[in-house]
Amino acid sequence: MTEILLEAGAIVKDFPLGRGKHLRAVDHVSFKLRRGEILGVVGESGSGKSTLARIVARLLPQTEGSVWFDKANLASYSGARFARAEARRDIQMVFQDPLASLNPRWPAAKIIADPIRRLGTPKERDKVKALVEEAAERAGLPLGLLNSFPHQLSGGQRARVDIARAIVLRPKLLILDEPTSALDASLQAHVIQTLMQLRADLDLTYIFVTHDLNLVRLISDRILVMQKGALVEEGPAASLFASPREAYTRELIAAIPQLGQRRVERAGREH
Amino acid sequence: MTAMLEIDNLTLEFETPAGRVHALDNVGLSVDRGECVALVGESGSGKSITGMAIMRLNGPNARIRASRIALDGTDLQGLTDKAFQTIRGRRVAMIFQNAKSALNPLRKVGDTLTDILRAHAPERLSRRDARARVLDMLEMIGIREAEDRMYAYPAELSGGMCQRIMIAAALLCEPELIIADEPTSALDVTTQVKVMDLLMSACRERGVAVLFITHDLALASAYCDRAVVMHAGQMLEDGPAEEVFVHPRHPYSRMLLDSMPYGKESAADLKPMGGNLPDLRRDDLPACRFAERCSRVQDCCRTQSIPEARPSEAHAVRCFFPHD
Repeated sequence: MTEILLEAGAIVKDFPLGRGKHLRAVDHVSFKLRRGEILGVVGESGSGKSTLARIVARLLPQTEGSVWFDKANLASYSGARFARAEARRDIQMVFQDPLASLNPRWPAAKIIADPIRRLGTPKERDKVKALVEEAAERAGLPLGLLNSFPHQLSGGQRARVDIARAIVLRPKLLILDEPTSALDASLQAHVIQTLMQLRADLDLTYIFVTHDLNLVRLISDRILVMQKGALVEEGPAASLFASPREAYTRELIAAIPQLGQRRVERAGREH
Repeated sequence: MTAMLEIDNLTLEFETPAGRVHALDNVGLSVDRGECVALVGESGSGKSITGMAIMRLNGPNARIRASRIALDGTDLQGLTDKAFQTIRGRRVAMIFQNAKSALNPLRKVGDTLTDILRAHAPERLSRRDARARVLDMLEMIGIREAEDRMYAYPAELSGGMCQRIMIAAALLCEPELIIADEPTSALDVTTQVKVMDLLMSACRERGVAVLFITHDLALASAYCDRAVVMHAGQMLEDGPAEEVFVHPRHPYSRMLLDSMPYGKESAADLKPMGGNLPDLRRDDLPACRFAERCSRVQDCCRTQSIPEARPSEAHAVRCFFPHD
């Protein structure tokens, strides 16, 4: 039995709508994450998958529920306590739109070094340059680009800066929120290969949030399907795609366009 | 019967302070009435520029040369910019990728649509009549509570709803050609189906010609009749969608398919594309701009003009050494 890295228990998130009303964005979601696993989280826009990811990453407080990581319930920590906790550096997040999440006034090297300055040990702070270069290399970012600003980089390069920033402190868990959806498919393949290599080299565990079901099928060990904040189905990637139990999962899978599978009749061409 | 859109030998260059960018090289394609043609290729391959060139939206530093850019048999190139305004928005409509940023954030969507209709409709319309037509259109494309939606600001609507509003805007003036530039890439799969169904019903039921720009090959193969593959401003393959996507002949089309997750078993099967698009500012671009990334390359690919092979009557491949 592989070790459980993280366990989320009955997470609930209500957003106030005013006049005492609430929107329940996450509704009693529980899951276990094994060490070394890739857990895909899928669902349509508004299904609560990003909110769930943010709660697990402790970027957002939950309304109810627990997040057990390394024998501690992180959900019981105050923001200030978590900021000082050991787990703070073990859980890192990679965001969807690097142009929006990277500081536009900082060069890549400074962005990648930021977690070291904030969370690193004195020893790590002494060798910032070496650590930044190592992370950039692992993330596939050419070292010549370390002095470039985000707007000077291509979409694929920006994604690599974000990944390098996330791995520089050697976390245990990476939470990836649509890391490749701003990229076209050919760049996506490059970034995915990099992420797979990183996981093998650095012994990482991934939570991969995406609405790209074609992709999640390929890379995930297990998949959570969310709809309107609730967990509707959970299972190993292969069996979930081969024999989905829930109607919503079937609908989601049916909506994926497949190569050579026509959805409309062809128009005849008269020549 | 002439095709609705016909482009022959379209070459486009941008004059920039950093040099002349050879953005398009001899592009040719055609779209029939009621037909949906996909324009595919990676980012930077010239798909959107081709769409913008038809709409004359490329800006003052673009130099366009073409033998023909014809709508329903009439060459548009002779038209003055003023005369072209009777084409743009009325006979040819464009749908952009990010509907939220294409809509004016400070105006209610009903007002925006009414303005669009009044600006482009051939006859003079009162505000009231225009609003009534907008409401009919929103109802017809299946927007629920259409009347209430007219009073919403774009920020109050979901991405899918904004995209449907943009399609309504495109259909309002009953165009003959719609250029849809990645209309669903910001949407999730279930919403994508609804938006595509809407676009395809306009195509089939109203006989609108649709040029569908996308980098999602599976989406293109599910909906489009024909596919045109572009790379670095050149057209490399053009044929029936199932032939191009299921049995691609051009090495680039094949490489593109290998990099996509469809039909693969594991992440290791995803083959990232080799090399990068060439710098289009170069004056020494090879004859086939894919030559520097191609595994089948020979000397002739760099120096001689590329022949067109025809694996079937409707299928053209521009390559010296296409796959069988």
